[in-house]
Amino acid sequence: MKHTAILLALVISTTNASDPLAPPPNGMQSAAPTRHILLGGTVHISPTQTFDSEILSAIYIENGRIIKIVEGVRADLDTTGYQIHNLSNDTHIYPGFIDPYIEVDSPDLPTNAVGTHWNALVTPQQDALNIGLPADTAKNLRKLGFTAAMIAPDDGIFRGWSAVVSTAADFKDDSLGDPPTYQAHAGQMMGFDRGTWPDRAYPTSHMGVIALMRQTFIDAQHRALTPHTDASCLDEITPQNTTLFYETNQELEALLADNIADEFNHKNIVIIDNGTAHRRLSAFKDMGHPMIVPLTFPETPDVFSVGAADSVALATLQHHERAPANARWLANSGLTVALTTSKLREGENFWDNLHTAIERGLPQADALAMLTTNPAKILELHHQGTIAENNIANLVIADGNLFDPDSDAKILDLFIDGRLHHINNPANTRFDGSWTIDLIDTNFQLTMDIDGNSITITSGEGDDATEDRARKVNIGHNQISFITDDPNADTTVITGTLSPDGLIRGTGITPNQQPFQWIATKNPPAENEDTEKVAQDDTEPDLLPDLPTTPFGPYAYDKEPKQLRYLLTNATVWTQSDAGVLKNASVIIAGGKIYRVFKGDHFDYDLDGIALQTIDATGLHITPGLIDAHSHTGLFRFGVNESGQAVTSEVRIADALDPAHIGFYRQLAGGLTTAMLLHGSANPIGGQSQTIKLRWNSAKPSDMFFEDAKPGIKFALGENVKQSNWGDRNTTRYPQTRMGVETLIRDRFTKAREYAASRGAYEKVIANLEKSGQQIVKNIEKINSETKKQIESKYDDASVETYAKFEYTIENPELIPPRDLELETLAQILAGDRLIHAHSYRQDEILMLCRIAEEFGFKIGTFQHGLETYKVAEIVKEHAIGASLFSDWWAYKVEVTDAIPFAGPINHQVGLLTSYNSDSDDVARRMHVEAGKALKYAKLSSIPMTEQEALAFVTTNPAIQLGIIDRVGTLEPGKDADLVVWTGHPLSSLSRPEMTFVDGRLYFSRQLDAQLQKQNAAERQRLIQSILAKGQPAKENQKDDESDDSDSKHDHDHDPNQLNNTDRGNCGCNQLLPAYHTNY
Amino acid sequence: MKHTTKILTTLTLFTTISTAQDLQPSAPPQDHPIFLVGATVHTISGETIENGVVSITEGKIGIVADHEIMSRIRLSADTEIIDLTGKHLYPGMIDSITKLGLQEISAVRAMNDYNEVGDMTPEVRAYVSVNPDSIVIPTVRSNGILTFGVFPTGGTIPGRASILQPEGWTNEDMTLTRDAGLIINWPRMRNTGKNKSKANERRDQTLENINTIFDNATAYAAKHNETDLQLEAITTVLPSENQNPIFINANDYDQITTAINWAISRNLRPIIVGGRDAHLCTDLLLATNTPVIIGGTYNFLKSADAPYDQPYTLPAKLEQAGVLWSLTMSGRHAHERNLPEAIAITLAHSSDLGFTQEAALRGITLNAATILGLESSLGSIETGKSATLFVTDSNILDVTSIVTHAWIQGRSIDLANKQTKLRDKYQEKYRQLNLIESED
Repeated sequence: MKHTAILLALVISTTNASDPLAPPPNGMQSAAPTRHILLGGTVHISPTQTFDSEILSAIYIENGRIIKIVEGVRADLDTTGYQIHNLSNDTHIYPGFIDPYIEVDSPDLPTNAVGTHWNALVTPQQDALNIGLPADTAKNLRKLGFTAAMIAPDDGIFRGWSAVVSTAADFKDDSLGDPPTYQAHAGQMMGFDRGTWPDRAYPTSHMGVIALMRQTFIDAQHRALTPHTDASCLDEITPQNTTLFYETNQELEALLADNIADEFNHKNIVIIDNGTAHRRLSAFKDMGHPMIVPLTFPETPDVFSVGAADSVALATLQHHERAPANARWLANSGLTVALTTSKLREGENFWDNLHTAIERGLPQADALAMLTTNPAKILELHHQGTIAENNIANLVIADGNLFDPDSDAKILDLFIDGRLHHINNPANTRFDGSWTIDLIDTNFQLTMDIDGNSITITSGEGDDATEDRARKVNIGHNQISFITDDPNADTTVITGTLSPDGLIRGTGITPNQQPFQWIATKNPPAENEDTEKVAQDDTEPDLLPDLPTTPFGPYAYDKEPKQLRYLLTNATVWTQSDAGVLKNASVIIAGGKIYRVFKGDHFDYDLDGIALQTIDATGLHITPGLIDAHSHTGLFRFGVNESGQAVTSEVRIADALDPAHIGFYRQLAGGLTTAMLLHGSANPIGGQSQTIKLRWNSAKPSDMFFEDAKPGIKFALGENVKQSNWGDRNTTRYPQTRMGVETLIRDRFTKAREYAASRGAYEKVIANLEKSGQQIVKNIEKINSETKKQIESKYDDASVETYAKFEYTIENPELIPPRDLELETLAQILAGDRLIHAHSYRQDEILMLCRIAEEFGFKIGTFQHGLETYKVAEIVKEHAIGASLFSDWWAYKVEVTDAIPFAGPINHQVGLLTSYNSDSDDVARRMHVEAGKALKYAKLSSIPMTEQEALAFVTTNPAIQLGIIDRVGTLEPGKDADLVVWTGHPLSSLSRPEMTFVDGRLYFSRQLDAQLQKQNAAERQRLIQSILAKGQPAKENQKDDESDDSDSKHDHDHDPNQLNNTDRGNCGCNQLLPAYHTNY
Repeated sequence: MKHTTKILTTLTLFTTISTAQDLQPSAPPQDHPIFLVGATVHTISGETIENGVVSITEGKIGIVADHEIMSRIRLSADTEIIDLTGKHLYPGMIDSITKLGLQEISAVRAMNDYNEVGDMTPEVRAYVSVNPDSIVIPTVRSNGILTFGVFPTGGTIPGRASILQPEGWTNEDMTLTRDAGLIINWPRMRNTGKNKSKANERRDQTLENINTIFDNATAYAAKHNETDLQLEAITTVLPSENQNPIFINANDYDQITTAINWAISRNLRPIIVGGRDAHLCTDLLLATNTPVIIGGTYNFLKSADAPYDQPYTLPAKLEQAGVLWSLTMSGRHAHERNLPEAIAITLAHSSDLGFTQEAALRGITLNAATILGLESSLGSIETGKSATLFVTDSNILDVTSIVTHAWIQGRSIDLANKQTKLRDKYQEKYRQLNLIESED
């Protein structure tokens, strides 16, 4: 880190009163000695090295630095000129703790300043040093033992620069300057802040956040290549040299950050967790990024009534148990983990929680590392984190082992930059013991037993003895006072002072206001005292394993199901190919593919002798896995619509995917194996779609992506995009008419065409250069100023081609058309590389888009919903691959009043390729019934349709429409082994899937489900019992849960008491309720 | 055989399309006896009769017997015999809870008539504003839903339900029961999340309001000088000879149990609507004789942990426990016609619970009639009951089946609707374009 050298100088200067920024002294110039020796105590040099207190050691501090450490001090220790701090044997000394994440309030920046980004969430020019560490926060950090903290602006997507500062108190003398900054510009803070659905300020979704991050990085890199004299906040974004700290509130956000790092080759990113990373441990392990982890644990789940216990989610219970192991499991996975005191719930205490983590198995040395060496490593603080010569004299002194959960050790003092900060008084044990009190001038004696703040006064002996527990006890450094009651309930006030001779000398005032004096002598300690201290807590602490032993969440598999070789025999096989429906047929699956489909069960294929798992499918039906061409499953955690703008082709639905959404499992149970995830319909031009396979609960969202599926994008026409049903407030966004929808789309395609032309010419030059064998930087956006210099030196003796490239990229950077994610995506449509899937209803708007396609020369993918395609099927089939409809939904808004359940059969009759989709987490569970309706309404209309053709509505036809027919959609050798075993006829509502395979992996079976249910139940029972055994803190009864209860909200959060919950909403999803649209 | 060609004869009607109104005339009352011969007769109340005979006279069911009876009876000259060989005959299906006629296009405010202003509006009755010319209603009856409840929604007491049949010139013609019972939306007893304390406050307030209005109504029923329409409405469900039931919307375990105990302690007649957790308290349901109108099998699950088939199997679990239940599409507007497939999914998933086709059919016919107090006239094919029947080409529980005939109170029902007319219109377009073959 290049800043380090400068900052070291700063540190050293702090005690020299030569700070040119400091005012002259008001009075005497302070020149107090800055030399200390810490003598004795257990010294934790580092997490792995400790000097025992038995070996007297000394730490020399001078001018804010540790200058010497002596292990095993001899009598002739040179102490001249040093303040000596004699530490007791119980004392522990640690390197000062470092908190790598303290949020500080970002002030609003002037919006009219030169170089400000149009989006208020992009403020990389913000600088934590302009905000500083508030004195209160610094004080609180000191109380917890932290001597350094990274302060971080708290607002936005690009939030600005963080800085590492000392937590030292301000000097009392202003002329001494300010406590030091250890690291200015420690890193850029990144976050996922966004506008809310009602405000509709871009971005409203995670997809939009990611698009804005990507475009901003691209713009910054482009600017770095472009000569400029103006000011721009983009100059603050030089990621190749900067650590990017991503603040996350859900574990999936870390994966999004990782994608950005991959794309832009960012070497140093740090994830600031929210305490839930353990849910996706394997993904975090794979990514390998350093982690800043808060010690926040969820409240005890309510399981104290039948309704509550029945409703609590397994994930909630598991998270409750596992949260204390979060940091440890991340560390055990090989990650660098630092702890932060931030992000605690109200009422949580950092050290209590750290002790809990230690009790549950976090080794004390690891905990120490997470507070010292690890944050020092992450923040590149080269002179902090250990007790070593030349390190900054940041030290924690405690009266016991802070990391021992059973001790009640306190922090006594901190040294910060060599300055002593007093935190707590040492426990006063000098009064402890049994004392004999002699009342002077009498021969009256009392016994006084002191234990901490508890004093018992005994008078008399044997049977006559009376005991009184003193009240109002106040024990100071050498002062003691209390009041005591005699058997007549008269009260005496007593005060005393501990003399250097070991006696307490005191005065008392009797009930009748007579003063008297007394002397107390300490009695020798009674024998066998130890017997009192029996282990109070004989319950075993609940140790958590070194790594989780069971998967997280319900119905989760231990591992991805294996690709075994299967032989399914004696079934009715719906090949959906020319082979038709085969009775008494068999299917062999091998290597995730369909190997053979054949009549009978006898085969002589060479299988390399590898055993087959035989499944007797007598009486059962086998079909290809069902395909849903319109799904929003697993998207609502992050938002399915980027509603901040009318054109959002730059956003990717892939960035919104939660692979753990239980909807996928339920859909597997309904025979679904593939789905196209679509952006909502808030915008005429929506986001990029993502075709997935239902590899449910995979480690990363990208594991679910359907490899090489044709890219797609959501368009939307009609009422939703003109905001017809959004309320009277929404009347100003363009477009508000279907005419405007047309012109907006035309405008964007016109621009995209121009963009493609200029950018295409540039890319062609680059491509030609590449072909000619010249070494070039393929992606111009990846060039930073350093590589730029390299290129310049390299091209000294350039050939013609390299010179051309050099000219293009370096000399005339203004010729490089800036990359624009929005237009780039639209250009892909024009080039035929991306298919439009257009939400549409009325025939006029369907025709409109056909004409646009004609004009701009591309083919449309599908008309989604396309409920009036049946009115213009003969035109649609010329301009689109097909239509993807609801089977029978209608009457929920004006533009669907002409939707008819006969549309599918009519399209089929006219030759327009038609599929049925769900657009619903509900319907996606039974797509075979939807296919059955194709047959039903064809029969009702005497339209010829075979059963195979009906089943094609949810298998073959969507596969063709999504450009994946070469992989799925039929049962033919060589295709993916995505198939469903049904209990009966697959078009019947009386049948259900018995098994569902994806890629030849058995992702669902009734048998497996029963087993998983049993496991879930057992795990629930264990966790609930464990909570019940401990009982519930009474105070929690009435408190609002502040925790994110998304686990129990996996289902759409509608009120089940509202009868009408299936109206299709304005975003194209089928819910009108706001909970569906916002992130929770 | 004059009805079997009905579908084809309606082909010529496509010139009169309207988006907001259904334009089909109502059927005239039955004016001659009809004999339905040869179908598999699903009587529901008794044995299923293969190759059976059902006669319809003056809107009522007459003979229900094996076809052999045909040789032993003499038919009057005007008797119409309809040959239903190979087909299935069922009593009309009942969707207990709909918004049919109160809602046309949900997104259009002007077309919504189901939610009156105020948290408690017991005074409003559903049938009053059912639009008899709704374009949705004929599409529902086309698939054999021949009786439906209409339920206002919103607030704690949305109003009173009515029971109608999808046939008649006016809403009054269509109405079987004007006041079928009072609807109460029971508050959520257990709240979680950020707004827990506020929600708990609201809950307590709601419970207090419910108690207050019932206390007031009880006193009012005993004696009053001036008329109060709201309290008057509540008195219909207070203990009396003609006591109406209360339909209590309750899904959570805690809602169901508290609601039942509240109702029983006031000697009311509770019917649980929704009942998502009803399988957890079947004993209470049985002990208090409380039926459940299950709010759908296509519902989302209450938590990620719940077995994926939990909503599918709920009817089977209640059946097994002996609780009286029926299934409704629960006001999923324009989905009422899918009621049979919604119970079929239970059959598909409940073989191990001993759930039968007969039980499944009862849940959308006789059980529903019983819960709605119409068991003497509807829900089964029995002599003397209303001739509200339909015919299919195959098992109605299989989604691929189609309805070929329907009668409501003996009136022969035209199965065409706006959707079939749109179909016919555009098939004509493609015929003209020679893209599909012409009718022979």
